Amino acid sequence: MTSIERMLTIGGPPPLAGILSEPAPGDPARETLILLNSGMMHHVGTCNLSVKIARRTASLGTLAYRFDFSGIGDSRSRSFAGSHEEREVSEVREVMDELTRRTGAERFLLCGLCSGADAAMATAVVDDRVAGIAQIDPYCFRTGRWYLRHYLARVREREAWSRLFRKLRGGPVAVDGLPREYLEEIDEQERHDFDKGGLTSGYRSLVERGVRTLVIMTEGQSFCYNYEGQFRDVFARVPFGTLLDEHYLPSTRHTIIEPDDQAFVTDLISDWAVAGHAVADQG
Amino acid sequence: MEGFFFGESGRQLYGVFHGADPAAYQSRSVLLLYPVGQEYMRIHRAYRRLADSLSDLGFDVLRFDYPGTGDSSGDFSEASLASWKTGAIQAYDELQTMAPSAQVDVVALRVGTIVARALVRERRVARLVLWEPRFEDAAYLRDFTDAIAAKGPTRPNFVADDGSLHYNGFRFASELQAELSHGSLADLEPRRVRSILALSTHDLAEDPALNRLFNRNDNWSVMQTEGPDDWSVLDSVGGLFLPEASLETIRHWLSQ
Repeated sequence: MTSIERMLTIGGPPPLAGILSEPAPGDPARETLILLNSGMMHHVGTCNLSVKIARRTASLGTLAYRFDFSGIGDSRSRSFAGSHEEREVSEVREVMDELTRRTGAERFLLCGLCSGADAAMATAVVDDRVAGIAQIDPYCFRTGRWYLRHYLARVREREAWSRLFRKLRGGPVAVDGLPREYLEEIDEQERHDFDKGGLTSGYRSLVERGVRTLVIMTEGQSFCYNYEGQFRDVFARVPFGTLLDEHYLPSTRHTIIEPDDQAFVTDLISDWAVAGHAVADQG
Repeated sequence: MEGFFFGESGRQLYGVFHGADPAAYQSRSVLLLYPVGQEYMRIHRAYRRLADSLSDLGFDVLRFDYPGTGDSSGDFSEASLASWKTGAIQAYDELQTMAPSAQVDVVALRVGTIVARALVRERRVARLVLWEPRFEDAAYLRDFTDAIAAKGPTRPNFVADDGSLHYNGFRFASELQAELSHGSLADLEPRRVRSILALSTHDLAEDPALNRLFNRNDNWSVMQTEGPDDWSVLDSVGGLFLPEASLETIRHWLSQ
């Protein structure tokens, strides 16, 4: 299927700048994929990943829209009374409103990496139009199995032992036998702005609405995630069932610069985006 | 700031036009030529900032994505220098159509300086900023291959069996590498440009070949600025690059 791309600005002034990838012919009854910024990176995404995902998704018959939050990429800054997170949620909802008006789309899938994953989740919790979220490196929490794998890996490292012996000769040693500096290194990397209870109830509300969740974790989150299935373990109280699709790419960097992994993630997300239509069509 | 597509259907290019502040309008335009690969990602915000500040100074500014890069059609793995040169000419013409002006200046960074040379042959360019230029075109990719040779191949950075070079998330096909290995800054026809600024964080005159070039014509200015200079760096979160001293030098030189 061929697709075309056109500029589509949203709201304003100043408007949000974005690009719509449209299948020919389009089907507004299908869920529309919206790709969100990651940090300050503009809407093409890391290594053009958002462009690749949008074009492949459109080639499979589904609308895809990539845009810049205000103040990022090709969108000018806007004044907003609330927090940064509230502004992002507000702008994603504004985008959905406008896409509905312009294309007839009524159901949406949100996709983002890192902070984009957080914005996808935050929006999905408050907006029933979101039918699915694809999160690359969302926040996760350590489990007992994470600690076991983390320290076992270090036990196998020659450098870890030499550090330990150096510490034993004079430096303080942590209770678990590892140098304190290891724990401090981990603590420094931890994000403190997430509340496990809040995320659990958020995911639970998504499951109750039948929202699909695709989670892709990379080596970039190794400070909190180090085995496939950990996300499901962390949120064990959320009855995800088949609504959660979890993937772990342990040798992939956070910015997905490995060519094989770029192709894998592009296919995975675009296939996931169109998979919902098969379910909807059958229903 | 207005994003739009232009060019042939099926080969459309994405550009962003920054219209001149009417209060400062001076019938001059600036075309910005990006670098490529991860360098394009890192400099995008700085280019937007440069375009905004030049429009505040009264310039109409266009920045655009080469074919196979950013939002323009095609994929980088199939991109060619020839198509980038053609794209630059199209962008120049589009800028003149959107905002006809008495003169067009060009700012080109790294590989963009190679594209700029071709543009100067085909279109009238009044002033040219060559930002971080290298004398030999091959030097840009040599930075990558030298890094691979020094550190050994890794999953993201390696030369594949088909000869393609993978570096920091972008694939440079063998054909593109060949295109980027032939020329040099000596191919620039300086008499076709009124004045040229060569800008770097290094002392460009230390390169004998560049120094000879600078002394051959009297329309060259050579400036050195402070700031980070390792263009092949990629941090863990895809950090952006805002070389303020270089941006300010360009703004100042073009506003004179």
